Amino acid sequence: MASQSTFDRHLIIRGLERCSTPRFLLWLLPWVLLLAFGLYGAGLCLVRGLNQTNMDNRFAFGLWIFLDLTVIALGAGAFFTGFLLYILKKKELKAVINSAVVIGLVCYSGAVAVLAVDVGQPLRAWFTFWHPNTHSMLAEVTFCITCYLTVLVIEYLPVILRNRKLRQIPSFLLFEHELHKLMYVFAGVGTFLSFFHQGSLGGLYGVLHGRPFAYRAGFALWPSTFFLFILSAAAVGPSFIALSTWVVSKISRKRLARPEVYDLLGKVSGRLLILYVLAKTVDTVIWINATSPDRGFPAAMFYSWKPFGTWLLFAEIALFGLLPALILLDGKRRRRMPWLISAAALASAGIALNRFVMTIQTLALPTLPFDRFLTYFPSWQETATFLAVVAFGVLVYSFSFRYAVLFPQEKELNVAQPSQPEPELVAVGD
Amino acid sequence: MSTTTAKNAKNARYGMVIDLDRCNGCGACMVACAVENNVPPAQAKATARTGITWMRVENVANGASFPEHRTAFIPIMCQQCGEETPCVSVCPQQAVEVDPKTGIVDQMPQRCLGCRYCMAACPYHARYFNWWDPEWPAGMEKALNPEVAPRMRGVVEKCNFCHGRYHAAKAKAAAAGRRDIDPADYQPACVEACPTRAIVFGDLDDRSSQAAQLAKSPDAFRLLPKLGTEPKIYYLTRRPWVREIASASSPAEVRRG
Amino acid sequence: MNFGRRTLLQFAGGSAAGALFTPIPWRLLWDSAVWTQNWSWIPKLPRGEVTEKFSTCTLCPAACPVKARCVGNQPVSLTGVAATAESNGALCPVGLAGHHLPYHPKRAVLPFRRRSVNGKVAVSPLSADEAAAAIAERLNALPAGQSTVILDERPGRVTSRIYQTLAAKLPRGEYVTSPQTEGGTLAKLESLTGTPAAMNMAGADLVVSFGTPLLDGWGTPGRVFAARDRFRLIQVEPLLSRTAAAADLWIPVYPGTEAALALGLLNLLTGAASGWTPEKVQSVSGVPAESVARIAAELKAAKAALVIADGDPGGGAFSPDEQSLFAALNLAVDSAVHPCGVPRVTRPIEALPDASIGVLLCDAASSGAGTPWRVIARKLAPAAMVVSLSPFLEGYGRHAELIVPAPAYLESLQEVPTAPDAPAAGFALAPPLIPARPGATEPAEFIARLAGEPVTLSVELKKHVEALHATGKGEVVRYAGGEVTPVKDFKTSDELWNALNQGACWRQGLPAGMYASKPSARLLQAAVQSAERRLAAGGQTDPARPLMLITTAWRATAGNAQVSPLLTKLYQESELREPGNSAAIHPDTSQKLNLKHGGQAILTTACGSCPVAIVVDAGVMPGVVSAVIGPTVDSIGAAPRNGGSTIGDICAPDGDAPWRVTSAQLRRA
Repeated sequence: MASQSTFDRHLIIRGLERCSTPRFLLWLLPWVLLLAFGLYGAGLCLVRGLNQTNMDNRFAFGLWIFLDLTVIALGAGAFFTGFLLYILKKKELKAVINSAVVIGLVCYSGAVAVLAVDVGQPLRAWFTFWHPNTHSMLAEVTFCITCYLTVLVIEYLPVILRNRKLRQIPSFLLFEHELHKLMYVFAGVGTFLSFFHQGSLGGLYGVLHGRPFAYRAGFALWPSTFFLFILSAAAVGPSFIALSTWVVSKISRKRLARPEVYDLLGKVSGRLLILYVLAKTVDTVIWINATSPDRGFPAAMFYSWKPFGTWLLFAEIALFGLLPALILLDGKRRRRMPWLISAAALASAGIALNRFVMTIQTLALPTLPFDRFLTYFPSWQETATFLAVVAFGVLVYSFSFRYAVLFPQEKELNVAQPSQPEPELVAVGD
Repeated sequence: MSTTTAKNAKNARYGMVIDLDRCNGCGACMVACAVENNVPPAQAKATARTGITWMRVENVANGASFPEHRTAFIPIMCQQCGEETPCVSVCPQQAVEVDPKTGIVDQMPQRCLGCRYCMAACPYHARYFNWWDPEWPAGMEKALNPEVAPRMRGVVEKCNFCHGRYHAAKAKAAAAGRRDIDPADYQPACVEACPTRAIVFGDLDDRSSQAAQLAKSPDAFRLLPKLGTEPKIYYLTRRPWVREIASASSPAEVRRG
Repeated sequence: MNFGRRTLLQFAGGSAAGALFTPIPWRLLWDSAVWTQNWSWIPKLPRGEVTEKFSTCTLCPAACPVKARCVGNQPVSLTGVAATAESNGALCPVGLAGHHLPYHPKRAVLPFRRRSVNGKVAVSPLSADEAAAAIAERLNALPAGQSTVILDERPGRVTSRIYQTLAAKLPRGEYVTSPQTEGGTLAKLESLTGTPAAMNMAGADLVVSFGTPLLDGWGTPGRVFAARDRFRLIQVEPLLSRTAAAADLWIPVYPGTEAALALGLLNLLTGAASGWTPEKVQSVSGVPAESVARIAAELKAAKAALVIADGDPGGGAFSPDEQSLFAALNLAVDSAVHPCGVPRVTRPIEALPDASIGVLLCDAASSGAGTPWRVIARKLAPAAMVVSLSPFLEGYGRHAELIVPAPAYLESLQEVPTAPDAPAAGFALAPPLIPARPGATEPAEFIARLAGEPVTLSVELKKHVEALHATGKGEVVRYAGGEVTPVKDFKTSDELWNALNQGACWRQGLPAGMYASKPSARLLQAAVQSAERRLAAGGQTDPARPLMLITTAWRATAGNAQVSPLLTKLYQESELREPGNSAAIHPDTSQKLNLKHGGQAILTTACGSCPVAIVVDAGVMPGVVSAVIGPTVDSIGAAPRNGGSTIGDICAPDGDAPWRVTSAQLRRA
């Protein structure tokens, strides 16, 4: 590791093998460029206004909200893994909890950053705290996301503080130690907040009683989408952790977690997913037969505008829900990596599709009898802004991976081949 | 005015009845509305989907071809929902409120964050976002209505039954020692401007008002009746096909080519 | 003590945490939010005393009374005047935003000259004196056979009389009027019978309209709408216009064959056009035979019927012979026409020989109609000098070499002659509400300077009011309050002048008798024969241009008119009205030509091509293109941009009937 600069070398955790400094910088370069490009796009939106997007009065929400919801659902892996580890005491998941926390942090902070561009008056964002409308699902979402982002930062701190260099500072070490003892509390709080705001995000659409495509009956204050969003996020979260761990291990060419960890993640995901598919099916049946027709909207109508046919409903529930659930429930298949990863990918795509349907299809469909079905395609500024979040995520993750212990099992799993020559084609996130 | 009326100011429930058989689609209401409420002319790149028209006259057709083809015009503005107002409950920071004194759903642009959740919630598409900063050709800002503040970009706005005029009418009543305003003093700009007198405005709870009487006409109906939003805008038509289209509870009942 | 990285980190962390307990971050939050509510680039509202002032709208011939809400000296909104029967409080969208026109980005304030240099347009400012000198130079060197022409957009004014007098003083001066659609039927009736005619629409129980936009910009809208509840409306028109859609009965007719229906009706009602059986009418015009019989029966049964064939402001008037038939129809029934009104003095530009105009002086007023430039251009001699006196760069301004802008709407004292649908003669003043910009020149005064005969418009108007006062006839309606005062009760003409200047109109009393004059049988027979010839000549289509192009315009938005930038609400920010250069075709036609709604196409006639936006509309007759002459999205509010052809530029005027139908071809752009 002679090519690592002294400062860089001192930062890397002892015992972990990381690539050379130039190689790391080379890996960072495209992401930094993408980030810069995305920030330029976002800057245009902030300075010149949202006329830079292709959203309009009908498509009041667009690419950003759709992807925000997706990202937040995928980031649910963080809270749910924490819940499984700290509350349900699934000790195996200690192997991925740090990575999950980083992914959660990236997803949530990215989503919040995009939201700040998406609202017309970001400088007034704090008005929600000053004049909160407690009936609004969006107020709930705002509170929970803000609080949970704080929790994530707190959860992320120990990961960072365990860095070799930072540990040399006694007060940091002490702080980290104390914080760690409290982690159960934070995991609990985080879990509650997370459950609640995943639900609120679902409620966001479920309460739209003027939009029968999204509107759902529910229990007490909360429409059924409240619970469906929680369940779907909890189900897909572990899948996404498995998927992301696998992707990182492929890119870094290192084994990062034992097969039992993958297996456990897959099993949890599969069980929850089948539950979700069942609940979603029941919900859809009620919606088709009661909720929507009661408001004057025969549900068949929603699927009569191409390209959003019934295939979308089928894809969402069967192809991207039931299928991965069945794969993940089958122990034999689940233990084989290609099956597990394919199922996890399908499940993750499924949640994205669900968020797409709730956001985009809801707005595309007409409500007034003489309305038209409208389409929308995001502008480059919108796309770039989102790509900035992706780049930001990759950068934060890359730094965390290089300088902190994201996978505690990495050291022992990779000790067998100490003198392994550095892979040629490594794209190196390490 | 008698002193008895001065004691208690009644709560009103303002609404409109629009006769679609009188509307000839001239657009005077749209222009008068924009003049009254200081809505700027379109930016060069604005379209029918990004412009701001608190009052918007929609053109509907009976679906038949020439020579049986017929068209009608339906002016759409905020329907001032009376129940389960879809936009009020969703706003995260109470920038939308229903005034219990008037029943008017009011938007406070100064408090609006621009999240556009209310726009997604509104089934009547009656809410508009300021995609641009407001801009008037040089000199034209001198011709702005002094009663209504122009909005900044990034906030949502919509019809509020010309709230400025309501306040002016109240001030006038107060100056005259009355609590209740004279209905003649409070007419929204579109009502005043309509050259065919297609729009009748008034207190729907006041049985003597023309609006309240027309709203009870057998020819009257409201938009998307089954949503349960109880709008305070009523429409009138004696043309069966217009009624069939405009009063349908969803687009499913009127699929046109 | 050592200052290391660690100390620095500790310091930074401590400061950040400590800052939260100071007012700084909170104050910052607060101030930044307040800042978003007070952006400096958002215009500040006008302040001042709020007053009500009155004037009369001069944007089209409708003569609507106007109430202006003013802040200080600035009108901030215009509305109709509910207290008067002239308009019943109605004002059209163009009028409602008329107070924006002085600030229109396409307005010219100072004179300028436009010259084409190497294919590029060069613009140079000059003073009104220099402009006058340039024109005088041209007038002095006017070649033989060329004339100096004053083009009056709105005949019947005091200004028109001034123009007539001035024309006589200019070298080979001529006074002509631009094609007037409104009032065409009654004007024809007058010329056939020699008796002034006006319509009493308020008393009518049946109106048969041939392509007249009766409910969408014709006459005084408020008066028409007030009468509308009492009359039945039959609209004869090739497409489902706004008027057709609101009519009690819409009779689609092949473009250009309206006269056939008129002949059929005349035949059934009077026997004057023998041979025009309902079946023959059906074969020529496509109007079912039973409809022909039905309309004739309705006309016969009506107690007070009106037949109006004024044409569309963008579609052009009917030919004089066709118009004779429509005029005659009014006399074949119990009519709501009465012997009243003022003689209409028009001298159509058609009367001039082609290529004869050496210098054309275009009036600043707007007829409300969109006259295709070719109608005027064919009368211009090569290298003729066109002078536009309009303050707007649209309309004639697009073709003018010299522009000497008049004051804009509400900036100067103007006059308002009788509205085309008025039951009796009328007159109103339009007092200014906004101070005029320095540099603006009153057209009549400018032309008077060229003729070497100084004239002040306000003086001439005052003389006219003195004359009105001297007759002692009629009454004055004050806009404020609607109070009606007989002219006799004004002790002096100054009193009358002051009343009119504060917002009032004069109107003649209604006549007692019926309209009894009849046209001579010989004249009528000549009209029948001529209309038959015209119908026989029509219908031959050019295989290269198989479509029939008909044009429409919304009054006061086409030709010399300019609309407020706020009209983007109707054209751009909604789909309420089709902007200029859009072409509506039937779905079958669109399918045949493979054109989609919203797509771009090229419309070609014998006179040229124009890019159009396709509108697919099942209310248009198959095989017909209905194109709009009017403001394009670019021209409503955006910065000046001249050039490019418009629908009006490619309409082909023929002999005496301008541009009603042009054969055309559409293809994808």
